[in-house]
Amino acid sequence: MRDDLTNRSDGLEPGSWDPEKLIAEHYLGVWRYLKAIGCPIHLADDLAQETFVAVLRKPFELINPQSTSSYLRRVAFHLLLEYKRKFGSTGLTDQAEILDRYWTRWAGSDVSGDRVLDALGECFQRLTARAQKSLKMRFEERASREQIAADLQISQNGVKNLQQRAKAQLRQCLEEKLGAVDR
Amino acid sequence: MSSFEFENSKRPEDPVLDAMLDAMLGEWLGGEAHRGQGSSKAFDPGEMYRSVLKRSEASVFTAEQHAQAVSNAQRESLAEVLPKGLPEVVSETGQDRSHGAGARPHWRSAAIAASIAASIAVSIGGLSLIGRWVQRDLNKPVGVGQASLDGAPSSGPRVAEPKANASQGVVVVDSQSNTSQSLESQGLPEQGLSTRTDSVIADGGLDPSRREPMQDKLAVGRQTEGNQEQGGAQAPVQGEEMVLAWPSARGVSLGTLEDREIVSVIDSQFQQIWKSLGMPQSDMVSGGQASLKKRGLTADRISRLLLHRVATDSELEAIRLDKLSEDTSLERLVASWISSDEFDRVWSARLANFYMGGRIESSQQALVFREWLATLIRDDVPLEQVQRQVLLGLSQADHPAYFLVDYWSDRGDRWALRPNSPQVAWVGYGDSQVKRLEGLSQLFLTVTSNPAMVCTQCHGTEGTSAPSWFADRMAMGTGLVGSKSVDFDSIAALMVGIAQPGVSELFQRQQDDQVRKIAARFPDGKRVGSELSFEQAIDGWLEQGSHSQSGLLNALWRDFFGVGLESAFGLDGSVALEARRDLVGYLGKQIVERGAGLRRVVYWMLMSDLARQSEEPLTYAQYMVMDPQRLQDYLQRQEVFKSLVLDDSRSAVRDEAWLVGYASALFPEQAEGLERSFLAQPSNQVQGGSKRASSEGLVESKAVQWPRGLLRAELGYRVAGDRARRWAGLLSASELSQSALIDHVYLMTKHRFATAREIRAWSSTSWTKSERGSAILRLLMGVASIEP
Repeated sequence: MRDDLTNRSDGLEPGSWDPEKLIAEHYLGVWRYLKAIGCPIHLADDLAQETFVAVLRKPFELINPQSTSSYLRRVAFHLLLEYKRKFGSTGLTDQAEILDRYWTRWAGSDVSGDRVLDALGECFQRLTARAQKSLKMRFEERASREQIAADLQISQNGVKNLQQRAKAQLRQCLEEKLGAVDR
Repeated sequence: MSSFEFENSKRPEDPVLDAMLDAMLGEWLGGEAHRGQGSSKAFDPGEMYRSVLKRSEASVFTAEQHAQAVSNAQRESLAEVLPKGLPEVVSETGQDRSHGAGARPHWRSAAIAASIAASIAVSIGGLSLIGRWVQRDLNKPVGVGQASLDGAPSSGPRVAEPKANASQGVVVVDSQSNTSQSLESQGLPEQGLSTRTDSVIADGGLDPSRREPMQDKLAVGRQTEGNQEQGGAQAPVQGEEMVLAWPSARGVSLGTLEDREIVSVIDSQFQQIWKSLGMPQSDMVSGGQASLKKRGLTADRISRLLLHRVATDSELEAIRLDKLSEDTSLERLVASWISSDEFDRVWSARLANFYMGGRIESSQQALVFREWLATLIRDDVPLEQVQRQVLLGLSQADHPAYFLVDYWSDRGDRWALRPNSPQVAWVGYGDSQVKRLEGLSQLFLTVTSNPAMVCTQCHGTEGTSAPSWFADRMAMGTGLVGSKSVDFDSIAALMVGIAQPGVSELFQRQQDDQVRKIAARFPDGKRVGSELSFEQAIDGWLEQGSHSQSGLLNALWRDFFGVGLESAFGLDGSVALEARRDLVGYLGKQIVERGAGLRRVVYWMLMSDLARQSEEPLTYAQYMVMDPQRLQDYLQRQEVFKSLVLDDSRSAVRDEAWLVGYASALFPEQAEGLERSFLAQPSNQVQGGSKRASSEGLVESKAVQWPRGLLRAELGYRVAGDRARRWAGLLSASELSQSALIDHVYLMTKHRFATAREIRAWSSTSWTKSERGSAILRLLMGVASIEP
C-alpha cells in the first residue's frame, strides 16, 4: 500500500503531484473542516488521514490550492457520511450538511481555515470582558460551569445565558466578516 | 424582543452552529490542535504524512468506499463550477457552493449564452429533437467547461478531454490509463446524476417521490458463497447499514446510489407513460414503504424473473423458518439468487441466445460458449467488454466464441443471392465462402445492434437501388444516420479476414464488369485503414456504432419482462414509442459509462416498479364480455408493461407442431367475435399438443391464462403503430412470393431468414386468403410475438 501511495508512475506530471506537499498544505484545512462539521478530535484525525488515503489512491491534477481544498473537503464530507453509515452516528451531528455549508462559506478560498480563526479572534475581542472570561475559562481552562459561575459571581444559569449570547454575537460577527466575502 | 439582532434570530441552524463555534473556540482558546494559542500539539507535516501512510495500511474503509467518496467529491466539485444561472443544475439543495476557484465570471457568461441557446432551442422545437433526457441529460454528464447545455449525446467516440484550465476546478487523472480526463469522461457520478435528475423532475420527467431509497424497495444483506448454496436462508445479516449497498458474493456492490438513481429514472419514465395514458396509479408502488410481499415481489415472482423458475419448496420453507421478518428473509434469498451459479447459468443461456440469433443449439461448442459467458457474468465483466470479447473471439480459433463463425456461416445457407439479384457476387468466392462471409456479417450487425443494416445486402444504400423506406429507416435514429457508404458489403469487407484467414481484401464485380475493391468502413463512413488491426476496427465499431449496446440491452429487457423496450423496425406499437426509445438510449449509456455487467442490469430491472406491477390475466369470461373500448385499454396497458407478460413457457422447446398450432390460431383472420373465441382456447393447445383443448378446457378456462404469444400477437395487431402498418403496406404492395414475404417478416422481427420448418408451418395456414395488408400485419405481429 505504501508503494501504491507513493508511486509516481501514474500519469501525473512530474513535480505536480507530491503527496507529502499535498498533505503539508491541506491537512490542517481538512482537519479543521471535519472538526467544524461536528467530528470529535479523534475522528477528525482519523477522517483527515482517510481523506488523503482516498485521494492518493486516485490522484487528481492540482489546478490550484483553492480547488484542491474544496475537493478535499468534499471527499472528507463523504467519508464522514460513510463512517456514519458504517459505524453509526452516535455522538455525531446529523446536521453536517448545514455546518458544511457555513464552513465552506466562511473559509472561502482559504486553504487552511486560518481566515476563520483569525476572524474568530477579532470577533472575540468585541465581546464583553465577562463574556470573554466566561469562554476562556470554559475552553482554555476547562473550567466547569459551576466554577465559572463562582468566578463571575452569577448563577450557573446566568453563565449559560451569557455564553449563549456570546456565541450568538460571534455567529453574527463571523457572518458579517466572512459570510458575504465570496458571495 | 432584544435590541441585538442576533438574539432575535430564530434560524433553526443556530443551535447547530453553536456546536461549530464550540469546536472553533476549542481550537482557538483551548489548543485542541495545531494552532491554538496554547497548543501543545505542533503541526508536523512529516508526521502527518507518515500518519497517512500508516493509515493506508489499516484503513477503516475499503478501497471501494474510498473510491465512492472520491467519486462523489468529483461530481460535487463539478457541480460547483456549473453556471449559477441555471438553478435546476446548481441549486438542488439550495446550497451556495460558490466559493470555488473564482470561476464565476466565466460561468456567468456561459450561463447567459446557454440560456439564450435554450430559449432558441425551445422556440424552434429543438428540445423535442434532443429528447426527454435533455436536461443536462441523463445520458451524459455536463463536462467541466461545457458551455452548451443541450445535453445532446455525443455521436462520436468518447475521447479523453483536454485538461481544463485553472478556473474549471478539479481535473481528475485516471491513473489506470495514464491519461488526463475531465470530469466529463469520468462517467456519471452519483450526486451529479442526482443534480441532473432534479432538473428532470422540474420538467416533469422524474417524480421526486419515486426517488425513495433503494433499500426501502428491496434491501438485502451480504451473502456468503456457502449461504447461497443453502438458498441464503442462513446468511448472516451484517447490520442494518448493510442495506445501503448490496455487495454480492461475486464482489460487485449492487444497490449503490448510482443504481438507485438509474432505477428511479426507469420508474419515473414509466410512471409518466402510465400517467399519460390515464392509467390508474393506485396500485403502483410509491414511497417504498410497503413490504415486499404487499408490493408484489413474492419469492415465486422474483425467482421467475431472476432464474426463470419458481421457488423451490426448500427455499420457501427457509423463508418460513427464518426468524427474521419475511421481507428480510426474502431479501437475503434474492441476494443469494442473484449471486448464485444458477443465475450465471440461466443468464449465460440468454446471452448466448442473443449471440446465436435466437436459435437453440446444444452442441458441445455451444455449451462451452455458454460456460464461458457464465464465467464473464460471474466475474461481473462489463457488458461492453463481453461484446468486445465475443467479437474479437471470432478471429481466434481457440476462443470459445469462435464457434459462432461456423454457427452463423451455417445459417448463411439461405443468404446466397439469387441469380437474378441486382447484386453481383463477390469476386473469387464460391457458395460456401459466400455463406460464411454473409453469416459472419449478419452476426456482426446483430451484435452491434444494427440488424437493419442487413437489408442493404439486397437494398443498397446508394443509388437508385435504395428504396425510400430504407432511407427513412436510416433516418429514424436506430440505423447509421449519415453514413450511406456503410452497407452490408463494407461489413463483409471487415469480416473477410475471419471468413478466410489470410485474406484481407474483398472485391466485387460491378455490372459493367469492372472489379471494384470493397472498403471496410467505420460507422461514420470512414475507411478502415489497412494499417489498423481487426481489434482496432472492432473497437471503433463498438464505440461508434453499437448504439451504446442498445440491442443487447433490449434483448435482456425482453428476457426479463417478456416484452422488449423497442423493436428494431418499430413493430412494437405506437404507445410511448419515443419514451421507450429514450429509455433504451439512457440505459444503454449507463451500461457503457458505468461499465455495468449483466448482473447489475438485471438488478436495475428487478428493482424497478415494472417488476412489481401486478399481472393482469385476462380470463375467457372477462374477454368475452369486454367491450371494445375496454379491450383496447387493456391492450394498451399490456403494451406499455402495465402488466408483466411473463412467458411461462420460456424454457419450452417449440417444435413444428407447436408452430403450426400457433399459426393456425392466427389464420385465417376471422370476425372480431370469433377472434375472441380462438383466443379463448387454453394455452396448452398451442404448446405442442400434449394437452389438447376441449370443450371442457373452454369451460375451465376461467382460470386459464391466455397463450402469451398469441395474445401478444393479437394486441400487436390491434394497436399496431403507424410504422408497423407502413411496413405491412410496403410488403403488401410488393410482388414478393409467399415464402419471400415470410422471409422478410422473419428478417424484420428475428433478423434472420425463416427456416424451412417455419416456412412450412406458416404456409400450412390459409393466411394468404385474407386481405394481403392485414394478413401481413398479423403475420408480422405473430412472428414477433414468438419467443425467442
